[in-house]
Parts: sequence; C-alpha cells; structure tokens
Amino acid sequence: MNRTVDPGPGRSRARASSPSRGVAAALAAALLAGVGVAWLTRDSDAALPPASESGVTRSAAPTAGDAATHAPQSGSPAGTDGSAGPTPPGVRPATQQVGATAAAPDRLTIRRLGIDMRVVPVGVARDGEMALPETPAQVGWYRYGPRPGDDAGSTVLAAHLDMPGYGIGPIAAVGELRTGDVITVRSGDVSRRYAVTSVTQVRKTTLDLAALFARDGPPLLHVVTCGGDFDREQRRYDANVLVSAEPLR
Amino acid sequence: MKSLRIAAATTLALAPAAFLAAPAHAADATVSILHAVPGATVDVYANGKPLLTDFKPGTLTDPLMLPEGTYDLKVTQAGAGAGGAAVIEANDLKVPGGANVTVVAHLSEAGKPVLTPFVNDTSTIDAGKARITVRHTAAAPAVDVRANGTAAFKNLTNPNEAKADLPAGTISADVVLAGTDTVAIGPADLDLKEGTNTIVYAWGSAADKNLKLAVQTLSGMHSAPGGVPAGAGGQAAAARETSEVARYAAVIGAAAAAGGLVLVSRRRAVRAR
Repeated sequence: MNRTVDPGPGRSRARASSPSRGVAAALAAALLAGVGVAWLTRDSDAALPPASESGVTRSAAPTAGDAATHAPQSGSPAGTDGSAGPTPPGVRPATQQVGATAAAPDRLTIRRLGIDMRVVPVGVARDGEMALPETPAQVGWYRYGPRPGDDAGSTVLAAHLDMPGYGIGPIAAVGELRTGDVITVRSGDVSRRYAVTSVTQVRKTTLDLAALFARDGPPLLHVVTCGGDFDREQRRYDANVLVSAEPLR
Repeated sequence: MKSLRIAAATTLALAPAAFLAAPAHAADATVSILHAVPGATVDVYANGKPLLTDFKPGTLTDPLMLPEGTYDLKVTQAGAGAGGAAVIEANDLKVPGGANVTVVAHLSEAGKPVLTPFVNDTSTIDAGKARITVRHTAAAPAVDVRANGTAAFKNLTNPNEAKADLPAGTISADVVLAGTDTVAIGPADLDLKEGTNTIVYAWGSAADKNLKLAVQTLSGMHSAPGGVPAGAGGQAAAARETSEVARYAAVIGAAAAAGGLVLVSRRRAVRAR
C-alpha cells in the first residue's frame, strides 16, 4: 500500500523542482567550464609569489640601506687582522690600489627559454636611472656593481621588454622561469651557472633599488625587465619583473 | 680624566679582534694617518703611547676607530722613544665623533713639518659618479689641479682642499703652478671608481724638487640608480591585452556552450518522459 501511494520523498521532490534543477545544473556546468578555461589560460604571473616576498620591496628586511651598507670603509678596521694581542694599524703605500677583477660578463643564456643574448656593460643615464642597451636584443650589465664571480653583492643584468620599431624582446620570456631553472652567464672564458630562487613582479614605486643593486651580502644574479601596465603617454611600464638567482657550485 | 681617555683610546686601537667585533660606539671616529714629510722615517705617539713605529714617507695607515675627543700627537725620529725630540707635535687635536678624518704629517708652504687633520667627505654619492678631493700639503705656492688638461681646481693653497663629484672613470691629472702651464707634478692616471672618494695629496717640497702625489681611497658611498626603465614599446602589454581579450572570450564561450548543452539535454530528457 505504501509502495503505491508514496513514491518516496526524494523522487517527488526531484520531480517537483525539475525545471529549476535543470537551470542549476546548466549554471554549474557553465561555471565549471568557465573556471576550467580560465585556469587553463591563466597568466603565468598569477603563479608568482607576492611581491613582498621578493626581498626587493621596501617592506623587505633592511638588506641594504642600513647603516652597515653605507658605512664608509676603506681597508680593514684597525686590529681585525691581528687575532690576539695588541697590533699596530696596517700601513700601506699611499698609492691607488689596483685590485684584480673578474672579467666582465658578455653572454646571458637561459636554455629552457631559448634565450641567448649578448651582454654589454652599461652605467647610469642622465636621468639617474640605469642605462640599458637601446635594442631589446641585448642585455645591459650594471658595470658599477659586482661582477659574476665576485665574493659579494648582486650582479644586475637588465634588458628592454620591448621597444618601438623592434617589438617584444627575448627577455620577455623570463616571466616563465621557475625556481631551480638554470641561468648561465659567460664572462670571457668562464661560464657561471645560477639557479633561479624567485621570479617576482614589483611595482616601480615600491621597488627597493638599494637591495636590487646591493654591493654586499651574498653573491646573487638579478635579471630585470619591465612588466605590469604600460603608460602610453609616458612610454613606461609601472612594474619590474625581477629574477633572483644564486650561484651553482 | 686624561689618563682614562688614553686608556680608552689605546684599548680600542690595540684591542684583539674579539673585542672589536662588538658594535662600534656611535661617537667613535674613523682616523687614518698619512706620512707626507719627505725623507724622515718616524714613530708616532698618541697621548704619550706609541701608535706607529717605523712609519715611512708616502705611506698611509688603515683606518683606526678612535673615541671622539682631543688627542695629543707627537712625531719623533724612528727609535727616539716617547721622550725623544719631537719632529712635529700637535696637542688637543680635535677628533669629532662619527667623523672620518685623515691626519696628515706634511710640510707647510714654508717647509716646516706640521700635522693637519682633514675631515673626509663620506656623504652618499649619486649613482655613476665618483668624488675627487685634492689637498695641498706640499712646501709649494698656490697650484691648479688639472683633469685631462683642463684646470679643475684653481688656486689651491697649503693646507687647503677642494673637491667635486665627477662621472666615474679614469682621468689624467696633473698639478701646475696656479695660473700657469708649468707642470709641478704629473701627469698621473687616476681611476675614479664609482661611489668612492679618491683623495689626492700634493706633497713634498718644490725647493727640493721632490713633489709627488699620494692617493687615499674611501669606498662605500655608492647609491643605486633611480630605476630600471626596461620597456618603452608597449608591444608586450598590447600582446598581453590581446591575449586577455581572447581569454575572456574563450571563458565566456565555454561557459555558454556548457550551460546551453546541459539545459538542452535536460529539456530533452523532461520532454521524453
């Protein structure tokens, strides 16, 4: 008796709400498909860690700009070369010291991305910003900073993302780098390999330039280009893409 | 009080490395000593205690960290002892806290040995630039210092200095008698390294024809460039916008297609029943 009268609460409810269920299912399918396509076509930038972790934003630890970085130094502090007992200060000829320096970098290669670019030494433009090679085909090495192979500080290599009359430069691909990817920098006869530790996009207004161009601290490689939004009137991007890498032994 | 200061000075100057590893006192000064008196190897005493022995002309000490205060410096012939006759004596030499000072033993314009403390400019230097400081510490009249043949500093007299921040790089420097082309010293190549203060001393005696240059370099005043302008075309941004538009179209299209498909199949199922 029960069987014939009562079709079961589940079935009756299902039948009663059939049209709205159909719409809900359709919406669910649409959402799923949309999210799926969105995920499949997602920008690789979305996978970047937040800028605050990059170590080159102002909020980061005071790696540069602290007293020690800018404390004027010349030679070793008195007495540090004598470990025990009184030692008079070191004395040397008052002539210009000619220190042996490593060769300047001349080639940047990132095999996974097919990047193989000439590196040229650059300095500072008239406006006080880093001077870059005009063509995005070349990479500029900040020649006042550390060289690859130096004991301390960050070697800075930067290239134009794009340029009127040229198009998009090969450096644009560095945004696709992942932790552990290998970057090779050649300096004359010596090639040095670096492993990527971070890829970040930082707004230019919050970029910690002193940390990016650090002359002290661990030896690092910083590869820099532009990113973010482009201001057509100023012809400037509002962010930098920064790749940080450490030497591989 | 004075003996306390002496004790403090000698402790700091001559302490083992472990003690120096402690953070330097804020009021300490960085002091280097340059010997620019021709011919005499000397000993130097600070507040009666030996500071340097067998100090030779044309040599410079590494920087010493000394507590701020006043110091009595005495320079004697090497081996003469603390009680020996003073070649130069300067009492109550002021060493300001936090300052970077070079004390120079040199000849006055008239040829008398003197001690002059110079305060070194260690303020931050703009990216791409180098500071040059020139100091007249020679027994010689007023001079001009030329960089690459052009008078950069004019009419410099003993014991004064002049300085400028220049683009970093190598210059050819020489010293001429003021207002003339008569070269007194040089030319010499100077590598003005970015972010450093290269201090050039003219020393010796014109009468004895032993005028020379001494060079001291202070580093660590560098600063970073103002930015990295690494894109001016906008093509990368445009390409990204294009791909964004295509992406949104794909997302909306896929959503509509999937939703439509489900809706149609549901209607068919209902009608069939």
